[in-house]
Amino acid sequence: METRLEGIGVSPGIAIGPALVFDVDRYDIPHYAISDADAEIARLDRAIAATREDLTRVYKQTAAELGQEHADIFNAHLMLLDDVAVYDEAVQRIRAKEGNAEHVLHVLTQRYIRTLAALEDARFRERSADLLDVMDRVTRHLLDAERPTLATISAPCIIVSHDLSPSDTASLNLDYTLGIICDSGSVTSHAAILARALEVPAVMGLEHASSHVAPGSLIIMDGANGIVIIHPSHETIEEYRSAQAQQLLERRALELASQTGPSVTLDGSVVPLQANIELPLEIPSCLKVGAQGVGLYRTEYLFLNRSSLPTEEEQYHSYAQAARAFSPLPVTLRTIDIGGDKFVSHLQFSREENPQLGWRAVRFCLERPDIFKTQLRAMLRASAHGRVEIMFPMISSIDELRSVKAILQEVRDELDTAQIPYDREMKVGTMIEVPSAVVLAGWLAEESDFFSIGTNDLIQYSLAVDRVNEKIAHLYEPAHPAVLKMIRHTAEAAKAAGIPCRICGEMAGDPVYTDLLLGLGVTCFSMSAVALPVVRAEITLANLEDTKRMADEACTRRTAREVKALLRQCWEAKNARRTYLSSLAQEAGKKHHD
Amino acid sequence: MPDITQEVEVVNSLGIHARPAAMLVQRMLAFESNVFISFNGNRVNAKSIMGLLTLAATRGSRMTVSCSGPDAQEAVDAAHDVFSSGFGED
Repeated sequence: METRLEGIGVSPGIAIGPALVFDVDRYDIPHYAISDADAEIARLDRAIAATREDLTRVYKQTAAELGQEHADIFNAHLMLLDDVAVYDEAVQRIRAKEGNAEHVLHVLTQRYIRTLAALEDARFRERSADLLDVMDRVTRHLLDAERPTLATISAPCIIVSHDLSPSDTASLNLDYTLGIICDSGSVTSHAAILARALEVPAVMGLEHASSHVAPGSLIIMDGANGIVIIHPSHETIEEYRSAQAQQLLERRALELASQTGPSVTLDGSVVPLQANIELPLEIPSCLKVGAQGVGLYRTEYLFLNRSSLPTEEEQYHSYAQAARAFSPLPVTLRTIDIGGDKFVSHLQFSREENPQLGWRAVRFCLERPDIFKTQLRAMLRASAHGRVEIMFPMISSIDELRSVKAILQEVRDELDTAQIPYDREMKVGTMIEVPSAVVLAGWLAEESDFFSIGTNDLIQYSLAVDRVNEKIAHLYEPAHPAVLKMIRHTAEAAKAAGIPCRICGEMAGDPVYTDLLLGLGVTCFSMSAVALPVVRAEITLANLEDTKRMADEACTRRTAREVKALLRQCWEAKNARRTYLSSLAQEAGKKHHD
Repeated sequence: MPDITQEVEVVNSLGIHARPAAMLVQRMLAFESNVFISFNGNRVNAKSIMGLLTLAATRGSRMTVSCSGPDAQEAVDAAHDVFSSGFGED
């Protein structure tokens, strides 16, 4: 019997394959009396040795595929595995006939977790997760229970999980990952953003999928429509197989047809399309789709999943690598946006009641000029290798912008003194993602080289909706009239000051909003590479004057529902042009094939 | 053989978090002697990251290193060096 589930489609594409249920939490820990302590200790030793092999392999693989900074976490896990106090206590408890190895490990792990949980400092508490992770590996060896790790999967599969952390997603083996399905998460969660960047189909927000899907069962998923089908019938499989083939063909044709030139509207306006990236490994896919540079380089990934701060050299190499790869096209580096939903284990962050409104981004940087200046130095040095631009996130006042620019000037002066080269013409922009920045956009524009609207945060702050809270996630609405007016106001302020108004949030990569954003006055779009060909096609088919009229009309609509009705109407009006383009693209595809 | 003991102080600003704990453990594993650290009425194995973390030692914490074994003096000296270098931080 086939079962159909509906979730949120967060990364397009159809995948068909066996499920790999990625779930490290659920198994029962047996407790039984043992008679031969030596034999039990030998069994524990074998499990530890097997775990050491696993961790060493994952460490090497991660270092080779994603870089040393992502591998460090597994080195830390190896040290926890070899912890003498933990081992000695386990042996002691086994000799005291407290029970089998699994039970003893469980008891002492829980004790450490309780002790760490009682500590005031969050950084110590966070180590609990690492200890649990390591003990889980050992326990699974003891129980002979397979532990699926995303880095070591060796056959094509669809990953089904309750939740995927950024490090789980970063460890994906792309050769074998057909798709990703998660119980929680939404369009803007990290796993979703990364899935789109890596061009892997993904469906999230399925609630109980990970407990309903038996490992190995055949699954069909449609990442564009958020549909998951478990145990599909032969007819369904056939239907999706042909849809999958069709999609692949269309995509190839679209890429071919739309890659030939810059994105220009029917009436001749050039609208640069750039890519959002967070890992250097995404650079090739951005170049492949013809991105006109990087509009948003999320630098905080250099700071995550590691135990120490990245050095200036390390940061410099990452930034310079991107600058060189895209030169002479621009690479826009966003200074760290740490805090909020992200976490860094080596910095002291106290628990906040309301982290999204808390100590993050430039607020954090201004308090820690040591960390901030190191990053700015690395960015400025990288600017000698291509066209680097810097932008500051979460600016909410003129003072803040002036303060961060003053620190940037200090760093420039230091580099001058040390005679280290950097680009003196480097552009410095302001991210518009806090409502107060929209209100002050006119003044901010006078002190910025460009604006970049971060729609994810702007929407969440304007509508007071926590986008990761599943109960209210439906209130997160890009088509809200207030959001439209904010974007228009920002674009008008930028135009008056003669600076570009770019956009880099999720809205920029959604073809439904392309014409509206153009009409509202956005001059440059930055999005995940996978969305770029589709948005380019929309721009190729748009008439700037029409989009302005449409935006004027949209700004008179008083509800999101009315705005969306207008968007749908305009979408359908463009359908004839779309059909024509896709027939051209298919011709191009055929020619290319011959 | 009596224990060799030495007072040490945490001087780096972040205290003994994961990285310093790992650094101390790696240095101490090179010695045959048993090395323990006493602080606030707790005594933990200096070759154990988990033990060191549970001390929750912040900047300014004063603690006692005690070693027994063939290379006890060298181990105590090495521990003292690691502490006074601020674990290579700051």
